[in-house]
Amino acid sequence: MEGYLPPMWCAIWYILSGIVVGYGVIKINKLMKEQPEVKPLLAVAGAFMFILSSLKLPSVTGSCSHPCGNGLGAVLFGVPITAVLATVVLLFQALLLAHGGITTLGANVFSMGIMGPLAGVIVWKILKGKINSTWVVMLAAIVADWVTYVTTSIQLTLAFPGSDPMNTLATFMSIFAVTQVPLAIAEGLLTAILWDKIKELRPDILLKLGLIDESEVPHYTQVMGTGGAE
Amino acid sequence: MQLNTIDHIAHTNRLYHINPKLKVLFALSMLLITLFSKSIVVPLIVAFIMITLTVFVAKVPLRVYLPLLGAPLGFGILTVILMGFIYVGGNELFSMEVFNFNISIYSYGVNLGLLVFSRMLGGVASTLFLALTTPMTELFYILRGLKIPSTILDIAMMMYRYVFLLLDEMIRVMNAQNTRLGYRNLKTTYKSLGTLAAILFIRAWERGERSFIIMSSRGYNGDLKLLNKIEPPPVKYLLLIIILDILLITLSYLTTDFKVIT
Repeated sequence: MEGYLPPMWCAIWYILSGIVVGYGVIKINKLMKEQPEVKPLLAVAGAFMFILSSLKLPSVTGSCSHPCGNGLGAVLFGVPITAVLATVVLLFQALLLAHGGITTLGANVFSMGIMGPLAGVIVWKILKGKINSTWVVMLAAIVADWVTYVTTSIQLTLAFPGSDPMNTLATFMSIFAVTQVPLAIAEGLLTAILWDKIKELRPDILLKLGLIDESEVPHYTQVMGTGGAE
Repeated sequence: MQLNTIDHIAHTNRLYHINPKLKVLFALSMLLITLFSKSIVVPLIVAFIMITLTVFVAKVPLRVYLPLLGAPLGFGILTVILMGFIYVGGNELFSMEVFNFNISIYSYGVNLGLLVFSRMLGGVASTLFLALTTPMTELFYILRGLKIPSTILDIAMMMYRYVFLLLDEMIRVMNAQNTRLGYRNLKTTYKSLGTLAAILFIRAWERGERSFIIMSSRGYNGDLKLLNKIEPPPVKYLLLIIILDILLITLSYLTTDFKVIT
């Protein structure tokens, strides 16, 4: 929320996020040289994230809950590029929906665009290929959500430590836990249904990004082989 | 949809014709002053100025403005209460026994809560002023002038366009789902929402692929070209803003030690 963090912490989170976002920009520029179509594709992916996150439920603690954005984004594009997209999405949220804020942009990007996706990617990397990708995506989305809110609690505690920081942290976390634990599971389910549908209807997108193995969509690759695919 | 109303108002309000650089400078300077102030006086003044400008000068309808301001307000009140409980220090204002637990509110916590609340109010009012009076497209020009990497800006500009297209798409799909008995109970709601998200993703992806083909056929080489330029703001207003800023900074310096409850 705008104005919530003291200036020093605003600056610190801006700098930390700035480094990752800068790296993401370099990465996109590199990709652009090989595949010039990435820019419009990333733009629509960002718009998709924005639309999904505008379907959100506000939670009691002020920071609102975003469905679907970061976990899926991280799995699809990796952490640095997700950080770039999250920055733009959060800026739009501040200016088109009056959610979040300009001064807290750095902190929000750090928790939602960097730490959450990072956790999601780690889950994805560990479990990929071991169980059905739908389950992995669901877990990645849930973990990304939780880590996002753990990071937010830590950020709040760092900004307002009080007399006993651990106690404060526990308070913030327990407040978030009430709303976020069920919400994250709901988001995981939603992401799983979404992933399943994409796998059913357009598995070529996921194949192209190297996210799933051909063995997972035998029907599709078979049809492609005979040249009868739509 | 909230998104549509804010964008619509940004294009139709009475301050639309004011130089956007001026508006950005004004809103950001107010935001920073609010952020750096140590007492509740200046943030409340800033909130008052911004709310007056948005409601009475830009003529943003109250029925749009109040809910936007109300959400942070509600959160702010919660913060005051919460911080009163969490932060120990200063005088004990209030204390009660609940099942052998001693629950007390201290003045340090309440003061901190009020300060954060006033900063939030000032900050949200400043951001809302910017969001409701300046269209996104004009902000892109300003950001370009500030040497923001063109990769981010290009993505942001295309995203701005796609957001509204996808929103239309989403409303169409939702209507179709509703007419086909979607969203009836919890199970169908999840199924419908999941399908909606998947269909939107696929449509978005296809749109991205098509846009690239369209852009390539018009000579796209990885950079979007912008031709318009924004005039520098008139000096008279610039001076007024600077004078107001100096006044507020002085005032915030003078009221550093102001506390609501001692």
